[in-house]
Amino acid sequence: MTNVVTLDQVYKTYDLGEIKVPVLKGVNLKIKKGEWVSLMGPSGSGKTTLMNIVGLLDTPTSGNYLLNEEMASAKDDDDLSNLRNNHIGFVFQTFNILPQLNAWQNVALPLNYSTQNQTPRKIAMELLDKVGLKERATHRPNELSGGERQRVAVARALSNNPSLILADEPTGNLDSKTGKDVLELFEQLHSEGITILMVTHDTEVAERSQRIINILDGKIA
Amino acid sequence: MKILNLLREAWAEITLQPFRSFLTALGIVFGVGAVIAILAISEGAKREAVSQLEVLGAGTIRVRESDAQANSTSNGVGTSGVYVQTRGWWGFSGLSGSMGSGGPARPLDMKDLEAVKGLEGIDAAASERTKEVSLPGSFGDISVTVVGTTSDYLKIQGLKLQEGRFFDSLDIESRNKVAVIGPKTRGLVFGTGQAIGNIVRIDNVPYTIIGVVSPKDWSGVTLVQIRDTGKDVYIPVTTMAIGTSEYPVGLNEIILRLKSGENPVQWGSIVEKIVSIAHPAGAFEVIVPEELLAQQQELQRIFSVVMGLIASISLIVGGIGIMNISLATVIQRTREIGIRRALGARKKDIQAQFLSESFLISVLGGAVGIFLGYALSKAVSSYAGWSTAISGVGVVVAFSVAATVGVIFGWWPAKRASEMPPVDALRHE
Ligand SMILES: Nc1ncnc2c1ncn2[C@@H]1O[C@H](COP(=O)(O)OP(=O)(O)OP(=O)(O)O)[C@@H](O)[C@H]1O
Ligand SMILES: [Mg+2]
Repeated sequence: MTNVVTLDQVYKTYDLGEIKVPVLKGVNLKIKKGEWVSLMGPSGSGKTTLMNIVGLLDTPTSGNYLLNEEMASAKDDDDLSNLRNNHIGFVFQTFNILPQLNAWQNVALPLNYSTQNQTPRKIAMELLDKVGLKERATHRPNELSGGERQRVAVARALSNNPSLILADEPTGNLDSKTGKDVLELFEQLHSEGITILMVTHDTEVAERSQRIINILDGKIA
Repeated sequence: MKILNLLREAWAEITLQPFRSFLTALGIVFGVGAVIAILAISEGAKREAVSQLEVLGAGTIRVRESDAQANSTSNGVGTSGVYVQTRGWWGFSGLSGSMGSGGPARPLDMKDLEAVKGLEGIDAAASERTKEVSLPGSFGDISVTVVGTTSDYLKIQGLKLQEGRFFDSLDIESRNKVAVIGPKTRGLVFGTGQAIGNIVRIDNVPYTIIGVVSPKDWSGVTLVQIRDTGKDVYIPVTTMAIGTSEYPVGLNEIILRLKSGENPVQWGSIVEKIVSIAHPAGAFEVIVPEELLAQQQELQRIFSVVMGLIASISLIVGGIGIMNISLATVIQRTREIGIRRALGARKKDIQAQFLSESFLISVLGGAVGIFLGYALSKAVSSYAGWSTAISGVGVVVAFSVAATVGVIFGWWPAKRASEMPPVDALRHE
């Protein structure tokens, strides 16, 4: 099995001029293809920081990051954008879907930035069907419940057929019932062989995954 | 992302807050409106100039007796009167002639015509000595203008014959009693019957009609006071002077036509100088239609300059307005920028997105501005009496100006949006 994520001695220090905030202090991590990994740790321990690096939104201060066994460090901004577009699907705690677009347009958004020629509407409709929101395709986000919004976000994360889903507390803003619905969706994705890295504070949620890793003092314990 | 996609998204964004978008574009609306109005006015002035010169004939110079003398000449030249110097339109002749010790001014005469006719730039010259007379018509007496002139008259006035011939230099030398009549004269005196070969009696002298002139519409000419030539009767100027003892023959007007390519204003001033030698007391004016047009257009040019200033200020203010709103929008939509970047938008995608919004808002403002400019030019033409014309070129220019302003002033905010680090943008509340 190939490694989708390989972190090798990754350091991240936030430079605030006078003050330097070291957050990651030598993180080593491997995630295999098809794995579902939960990332836990106290607030402020650097979970989001780590997710940003894995998601190619941020670069490590030092250390190496390999996505699909390929060096991701030292790529230029356009290349990183294309890698995000082609390989990574984000699901955020606050959904982060655009209010001015309807459900299917939100789902199709990543396809706008793809170089491949695709049929955005068709793909979006199929994915909305998959997350059980086919009937809501033309609804605006303010016409959807929190759980529905998060399912739109999951559908969006899948639209470019990514090799890795990064979910930062995807159930954090949901009540336990809708949270469970969303988790079931992740279980389904996992069963389809999609690689998932999920941040959570909830041990119950974490236990659904195959592997739980803890971040403490800037290192994976 | 494809351009069409970008514009569709920009459209959605703009129409989300239509009133705010309208206010953003207001400067562009006024700027483009002013640009359209300027172009419409200058285009209208140009077209009017062209049409007036077409009727008058380009490159004509008219030496006219000034008004105070008009009556005396048509009643028979030579009666003394008070001659008033009319200031030439370029104003250097002054009033010294009539105020000075030069004595009463003499009327224009054939000698003046001979003096300027030979000038290098002059192609042809004709005299006009007019007199109102009554002719017996089929429905009672009709009043016509008898014009004593020379053989080049038709060519100079841009008139054509519909029947017969015009008199030639031989007729003039021999003082033949021949006449060429205008179309209205012909109709009023002869109806549909034969005109050529018939006799008209002017002051009891019989003239044989040898030709009839075609109608010409002078009504579009506002620059120069001009007679309707329909009711004219042309006779040789030399014949007209028979029975008067005057020598040389007095004239009301000398009309000159320049060779093509000659400058009417320059030759106008040369002609004025030459005629002044024989007429130190003035009593004549030199009329150059091109000069009058230029004078009339000077006013429109000043208007255009003022409007141009308003236009540029409006466009700059409009552009700054767009920049200002764009910057605010970028900050407002920081989170969205972060999301789009996370989903794979490159810097240039973000830049293109915001740029197409300011572009589209400008172009829409430009479209509204075109209507405003159209209304403005209509208002100006009905208020100031200037003719205006909206040209396709004007619309294209206005559109390009609007688009350019949108792109220039939208550039920096869009650039800023694209330079935002994705992580910071995503953390933005
Ligand atoms: N852009 C930044 N500049 C400076 N410090 C930052 C920045 N981003 C994060 N930090 C700091 O880094 C530390 C880790 O933050 P991070 O958001 O990764 O924590 P977390 O584990 O995701 O916390 P939570 O569970 O509350 O989401 C925090 O102390 C935070 O203040
Ligand atoms: Mg976090």
